[in-house]
Amino acid sequence: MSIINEGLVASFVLLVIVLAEILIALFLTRAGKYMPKIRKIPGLEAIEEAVGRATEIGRPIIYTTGLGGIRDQVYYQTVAGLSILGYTTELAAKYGAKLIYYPYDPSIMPLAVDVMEQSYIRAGKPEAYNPENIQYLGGDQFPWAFGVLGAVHREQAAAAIHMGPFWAESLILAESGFYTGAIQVAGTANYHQIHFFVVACDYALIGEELMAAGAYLSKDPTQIGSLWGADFSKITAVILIVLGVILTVAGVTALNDFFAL
Amino acid sequence: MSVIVKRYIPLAITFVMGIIMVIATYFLASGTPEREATSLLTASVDILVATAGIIGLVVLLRHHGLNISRRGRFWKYSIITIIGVALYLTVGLYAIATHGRHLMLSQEFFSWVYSEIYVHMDMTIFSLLAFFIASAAYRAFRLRSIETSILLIVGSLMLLGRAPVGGAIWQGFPTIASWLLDVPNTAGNRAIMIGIAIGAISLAIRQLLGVERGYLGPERK
Amino acid sequence: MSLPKIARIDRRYLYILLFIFVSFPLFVPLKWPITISQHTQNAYDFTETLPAGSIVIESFDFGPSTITENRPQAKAHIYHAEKLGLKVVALAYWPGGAPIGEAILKTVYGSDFPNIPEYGTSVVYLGYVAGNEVGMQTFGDNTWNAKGTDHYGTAIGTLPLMQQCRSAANFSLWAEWTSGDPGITQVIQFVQGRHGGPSEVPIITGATAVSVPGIMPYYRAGQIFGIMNGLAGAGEYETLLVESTYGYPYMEALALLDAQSVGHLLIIAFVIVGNIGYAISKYRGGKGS
Repeated sequence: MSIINEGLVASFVLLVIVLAEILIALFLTRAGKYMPKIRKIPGLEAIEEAVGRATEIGRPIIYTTGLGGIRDQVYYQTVAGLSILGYTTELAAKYGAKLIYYPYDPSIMPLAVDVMEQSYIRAGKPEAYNPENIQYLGGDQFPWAFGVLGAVHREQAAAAIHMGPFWAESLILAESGFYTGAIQVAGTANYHQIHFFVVACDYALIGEELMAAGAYLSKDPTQIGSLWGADFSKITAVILIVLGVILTVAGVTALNDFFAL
Repeated sequence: MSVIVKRYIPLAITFVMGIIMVIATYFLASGTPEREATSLLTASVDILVATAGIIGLVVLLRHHGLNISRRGRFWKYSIITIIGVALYLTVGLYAIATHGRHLMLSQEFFSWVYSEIYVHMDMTIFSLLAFFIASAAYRAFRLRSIETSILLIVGSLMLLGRAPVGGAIWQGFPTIASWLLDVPNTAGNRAIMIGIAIGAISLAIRQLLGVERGYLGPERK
Repeated sequence: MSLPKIARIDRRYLYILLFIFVSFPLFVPLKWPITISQHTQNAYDFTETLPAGSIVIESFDFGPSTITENRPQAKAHIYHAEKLGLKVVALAYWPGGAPIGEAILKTVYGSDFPNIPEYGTSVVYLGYVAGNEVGMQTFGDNTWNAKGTDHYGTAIGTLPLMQQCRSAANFSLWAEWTSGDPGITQVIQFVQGRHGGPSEVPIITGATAVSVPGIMPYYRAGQIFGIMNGLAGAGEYETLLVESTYGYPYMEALALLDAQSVGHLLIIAFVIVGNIGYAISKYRGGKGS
């Protein structure tokens, strides 16, 4: 009788390998043995520019974290979006800009309230926090998207930041921001929407750049170390792909058989 | 509230729950009492999340209610919003009361509201995307650089290949469109999907270990 | 309008032109011929190979917003399945898909559906099944655990077809009509992946055109046997039915494809005009938009 459930052996082995690579990288950076350099992500660098612009012209920043909640398969994108929300809110509080957040799923509202409140406190402006800057528009895709579109036009947003899981509404949001003259920074790991943001926004985060945002913005060596470990995981994936191609062409099915376990 | 309650307890809960789910997924067979117990655990999370729906409703009504009472900006639209919420809630609850939650869709009035109002509004809103795509394509498909030129050429080939008119003009267009989908698109999407999957695992590990804490809010200085 | 200004046309003119041009073929059909893609042909051919009496799962995982693309796909396939004598178990993991699915079944099986003789033996409609991907997993593991009654309140256990449809081991085909999540990737992960792979749980799918590029890796890996690519894919499947011995009386996609063709041509025209204006303004040393 197998210890690991049938069909999940290969998955578990790969998980252990990825975990080991990340943990080793994490401990190495924490111990000061090596500090990996992280490349610039223009989209994340542009957030400060966007907040600055909003402060200058006295118009608000609109922020959304897409259609995710905390109970769905893409929750990790929502969580990344909330991390960036904290960073953006703190900047907005420091510079005195207004930030309005439109959550889609009510389950993330308590998190968002906490994130924004803590950000204002950390920026030294607790009195500036206004809970009415978190506006729930409804839990359906297009009513929410058109609510945000209306808000971008009504508020004449200076900046629109969209970080999280998006579906068909991505282009609606991006186009509405463009036509109001807002500077737009967007990021999603939904590969079927990335191109809409790339085409229509000023800055776009592609796929895993969104997941790296928390580590990138915090500049915490431990988190950056974990990104370094993730790079090793990608190298492992490339090695497995190349090995798989070579073995398959040679007629050796060992790797295929392993992945079928 | 102390840092222990606001940060360390949630992080500890995250770690413990993560370990439980990994053990359940990989080591506990389906149908065993232990696996059923973890299913109960996830079901209890669903119940917690479902109550958040009430939070959303309360926040929505509060925001629009305050807007109406203060005669704020666009307060008349807030009245329409509240009427819409009340109408749909009443119709839905009536359907559940008369037909039960499994059969509420077959309740006549609910079905009518859905098919004659909601469906048409949803279709209308989605159809506006066509106009946004037209204006985005007009703006973005420019021969500005190598990347945008490739985008322009490939986009045009796909537009011609995926509509009957392309095949009517030249049989090569559908063939090229199919090849573009089958080969370069598949290669690119595979790479993006693998990268995203590894990024998601990395993020999940950071969260489980308490290294990634941004979603709990920034730490106090 | 000067040529460089063409690079910066007010979008409202584009919208008006789009509206006029796309509406025209809806009143005056242009009847451009359809080229059948291999993706759709594979979906059709695989369905043809299924012996009469095989159980097909039809999953309506889309909402009203994508009804134009997904409904003709689902309708054509269910009609095909009915003609082949396949047994259909239909359900929806999207609440918005459930009433749409019922309407499709009424079109194919008659407006009296479910009060038809073959209900319960040749076709069952479970309606909305809650739980998203977990619901899919439960359905694949044990169909009776996913939902206790059909869409009309009849206990699952009393339906003869459901006596034969107890788990994914009994499915001959899963036909997934999808526009987002939960959708095809969740079916592959939580049903096909858990029950022996593509040989045990074959899948065909009809998806919105914007989703298909992301689905192609699964198709090329052999996890999906055929794809109806958006409205064009639905039109191709309808054409295959029309040209077959079954015929097809419920044409929907074919009537709309002319409008889609005109829309595509118009967008290409916009792009060409915009680039001409951009090139000229750049040549003259002005600021291209």
